[in-house]
Amino acid sequence: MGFDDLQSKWQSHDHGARLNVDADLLLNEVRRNHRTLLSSLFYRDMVEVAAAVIVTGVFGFMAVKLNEWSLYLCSAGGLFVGTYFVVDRWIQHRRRPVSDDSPQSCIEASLAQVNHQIWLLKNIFWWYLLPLIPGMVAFLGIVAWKTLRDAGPLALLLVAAVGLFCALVFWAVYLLNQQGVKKTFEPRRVELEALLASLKS
Amino acid sequence: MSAGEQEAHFQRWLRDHVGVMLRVVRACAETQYDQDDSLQDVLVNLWSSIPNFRGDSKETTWIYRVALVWQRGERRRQKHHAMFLNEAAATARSSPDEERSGNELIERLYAAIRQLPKVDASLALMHLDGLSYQEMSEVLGISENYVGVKLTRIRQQLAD
Repeated sequence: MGFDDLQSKWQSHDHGARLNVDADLLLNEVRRNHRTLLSSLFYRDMVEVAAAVIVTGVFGFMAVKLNEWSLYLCSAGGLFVGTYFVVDRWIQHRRRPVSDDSPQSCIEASLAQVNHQIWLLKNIFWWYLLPLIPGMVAFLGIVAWKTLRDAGPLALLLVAAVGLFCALVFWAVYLLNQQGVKKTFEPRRVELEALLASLKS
Repeated sequence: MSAGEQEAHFQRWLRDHVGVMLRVVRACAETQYDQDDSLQDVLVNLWSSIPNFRGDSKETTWIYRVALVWQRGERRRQKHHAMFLNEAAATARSSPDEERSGNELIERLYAAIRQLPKVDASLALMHLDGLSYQEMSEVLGISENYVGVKLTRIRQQLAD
């Protein structure tokens, strides 16, 4: 059978004959899912910024209360991270290309977003972890020095354990994000690039 | 655009163009469950796209764009179980044998389209639906020449 015959049979076939659409249920589902999607994105961003605000506030409060300069450094680190989150999202929002909603431009926009996420996560040490490290190191150093002076070398072990715990948490955050790149974003980038190539080749 | 206007627009598109959406999801998903899930994705995208529709392109072209963009599989939603597609008794307008063989042919066509790469599947679907080369090139954002080159191969593959 030639393609023209196939096309003619295709067009005369009632493709919806076996299916009825429950329009009310459908509309409710669409509304619900749209709201869920928007609120989950908003919630995710809020949690990230809120965590940075809490770190900034808690360390800032402690710095004022204890009059300890190293805690100001911790607070400044949190402030930097929170500001980076907000500014980065604002820049990305502004840079979002005006899409003509063709699959090609949508794929290109998605690819740009995925590439940015990969860049962010690969460089998480520089913009997320490093700003927090000077304050933490300074604070632990001061505590260690005071402990050594006041309570002797044995108490220093406790401070060393806390320091080690903080280092492990930082290392775990770094590794988790690299895993996220490897397992989620890299495969998505490959898929989008392949799709884009098939449109352009 | 107010929420009421968006809803009215959506319901009109659903009434007038649900056939396009059903064909796209049937060309991408095999089981009714997956089709139901896919249709939901298409419709969420369609709902979100309404404020951006300025009427510069034909409604059908826009709906194809939205439906086919969904196919890129960039977003994976959690599965839901609200089935809004229901099997209905087919109204026989031809003899049972003719209808059965016609349905089998269409099902085989859907199966063949599902085997094609995503872009080729999109082109096959639009070509079968009778869209012009210009409309297909607008929907996918590729040149008409490229549409022609691709379709030559796709026509052969589907006819085989």
